[in-house]
Amino acid sequence: MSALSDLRVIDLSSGIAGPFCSKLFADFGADVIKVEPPGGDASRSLGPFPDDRPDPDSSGMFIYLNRNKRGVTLDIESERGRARAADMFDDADVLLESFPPGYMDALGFRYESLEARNAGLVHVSITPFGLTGPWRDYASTELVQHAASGQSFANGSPDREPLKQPGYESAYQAGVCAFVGAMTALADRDFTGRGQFVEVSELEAAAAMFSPQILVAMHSGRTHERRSLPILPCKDGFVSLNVRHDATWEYMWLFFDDPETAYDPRYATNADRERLADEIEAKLLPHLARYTMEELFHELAPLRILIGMTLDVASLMDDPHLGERGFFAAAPLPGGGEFRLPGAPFRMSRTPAVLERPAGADGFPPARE
Amino acid sequence: MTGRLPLEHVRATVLTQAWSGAFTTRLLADMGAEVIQIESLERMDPWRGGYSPRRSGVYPNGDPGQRHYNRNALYNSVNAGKLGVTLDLNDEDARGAFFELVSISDIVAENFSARVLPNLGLTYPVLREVNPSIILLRLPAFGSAGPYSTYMGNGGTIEPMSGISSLLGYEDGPPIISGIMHTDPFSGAMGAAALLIALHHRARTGEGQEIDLSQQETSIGLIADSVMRYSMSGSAPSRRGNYSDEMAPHNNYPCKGDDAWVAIAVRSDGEWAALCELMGRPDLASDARFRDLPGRQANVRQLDDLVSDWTRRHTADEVTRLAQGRSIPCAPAYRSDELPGHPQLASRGFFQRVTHPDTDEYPYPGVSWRLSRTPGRLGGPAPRLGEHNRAVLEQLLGISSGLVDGMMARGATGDTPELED
Repeated sequence: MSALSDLRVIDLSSGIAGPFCSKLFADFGADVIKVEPPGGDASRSLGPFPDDRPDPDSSGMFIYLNRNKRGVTLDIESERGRARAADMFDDADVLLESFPPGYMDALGFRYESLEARNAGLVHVSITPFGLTGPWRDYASTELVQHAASGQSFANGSPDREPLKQPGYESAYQAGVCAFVGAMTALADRDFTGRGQFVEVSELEAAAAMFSPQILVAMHSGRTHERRSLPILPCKDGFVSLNVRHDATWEYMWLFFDDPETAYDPRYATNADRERLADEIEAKLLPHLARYTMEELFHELAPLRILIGMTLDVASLMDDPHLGERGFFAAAPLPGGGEFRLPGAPFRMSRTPAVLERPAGADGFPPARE
Repeated sequence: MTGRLPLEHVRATVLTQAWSGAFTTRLLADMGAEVIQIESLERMDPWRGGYSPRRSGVYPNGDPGQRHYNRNALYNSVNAGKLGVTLDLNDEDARGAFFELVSISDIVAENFSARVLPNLGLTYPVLREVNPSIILLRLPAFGSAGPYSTYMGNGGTIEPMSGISSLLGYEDGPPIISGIMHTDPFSGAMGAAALLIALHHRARTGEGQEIDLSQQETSIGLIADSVMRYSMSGSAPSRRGNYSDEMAPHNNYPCKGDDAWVAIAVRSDGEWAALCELMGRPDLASDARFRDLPGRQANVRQLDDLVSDWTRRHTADEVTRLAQGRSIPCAPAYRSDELPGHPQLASRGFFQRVTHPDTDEYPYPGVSWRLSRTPGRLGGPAPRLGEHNRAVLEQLLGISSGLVDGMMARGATGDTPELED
């Protein structure tokens, strides 16, 4: 049984944030109708593509975000398109869109008028900066969002430029916030029978995520420094190692067969060790150089030491833990063959994600009318 | 604020700690859920600061004060609006109180490594006996099953274990960990998504369930594009600084001021021509080295030098105004301490002032989904350690004050940690 199979979502959004929100609806069984403009969703050109050959039906990002949805193409700016959209809104639980501020109003789709026809409708808007405020019409990309929300400033070396995180993190952050907002409105609707308007700004989604760092900066009066934590080289790669407690400090040095350091009174407390971090790192490197990432991980992690292997994408997809959990899924390509992609975002014991709807007119990939 | 809150019918009894899980349950509290945070006096939440007041930056003006564990900005940020109860789950009476809370709750949530819950004897079958429709969210670093599930993890190890670190860094440098440990709040928000799905199902069927969320897996979702690129092409993507396949210029550029930077992302040849005009170098728009994207990619270092020559003469705000005036995506790289003054966030009233009795009044980032009829809010300050022991144990559960006194006397509940070290 699917948890959200009683819900219908009309999704006019394009790109990543909105489609990621409706992907969560679709993964857990909602009937998501993806409405694309005649030119197609922007993510059809994002790729990645098989053999790097651009093809609007083979874009990895488009397929990842939009499988499990039904697809229609509609020119919402035409009179016929508007009428058809209005009919769809009458019959929907959720209307999701990522149009610029004022666009829906100009088409006559102000929430007040939609609500008058369908009192239970939850209308979700996702924009880069929000529907109001001096930046509402500013142009944006991932790089710009990461800078504006303070994420970039903390990444990298103090003597070089701040770094954006890889991928499309701001969009995913906004997408999950939009989903939580929509589901919250639906939970309220169970009691009140009424929908509402849910507004998500990508910038605010990111800033809310980093509230601990922002509040720390308010407390200390200082900004979060740009000093990424070290990942230390070992025999065949890099490991991240975080030894805070006295017991794990001892376990680690005994594993390296170095009791002198384990019991050196100069390193007795965590405060001492933080103060002498550079000296400790110099002692650690020759030990790490003798072991592979896997050896270190499998020896130290069971001792309750915080350690991470720096897995690249290739080793990630061969990782035995992820393999045993069956995390990666496969999706067919329109031109034949298949590719691998992230599977269910989380496992629900009674209502698991349904990643593969039957192919066909109502299946994968969304057909274009 | 008055009026209905959208999740005011929901009660959650949670063992969440540090960041990810605590963020999940704070999101519920923002929407009006009653979130009862169960804490241990023996093993305090790491975000209360451990046992020594060592990281002074997290305290008001660097002062840990008398009870530093009530003054930590990290803990106080992600636990705002919750009730705080301390229970020693190995004590019979305290354990009984915990199960009574479970019996009247909708949700139990935790983000320990997977060995902890079974060790506490609190598996889903046990909780379901107490409350057949309970929803249990488990949010360990590596999930609640699989070979690594008993290993501990945090943002600093999940980033490398999810492939993110292999992609984060300068094009000529080693892999790095982000400065912020950003996978925690994303996994935390995904946890809230999972809980709302489970609540929706339960409202229709009465059925609870167990949710297994692996922070490693939700984090891999953040680099889905690279996973698919590898699967489709067979070559593993690597670190590229801020460079992009689709855009150039695409970087953070130095500006007038100390460590000041501005992000500029040029999406088209037209935007490049507009930027050249702003830079006072219209000649560059037709320069064969730069006039189209392949040229700008091939000569990206020269390109960055030219853009930097211009940005260095202006503040990041000036560059932003000029570039956005031509609809070129651009923004200053804000620092965390500048965000409350961010013109866009400030004009929308995003920050909410919260007064904590042991700290002061500070602006807290608010709720990032704005519901028109039943907006959420930060429900108040984070609880002081054990602040709501009597309110929850005596008033909500009806346990006699004599019994609670006894629990306090033997340390099964209380408001002072058992200091070690």
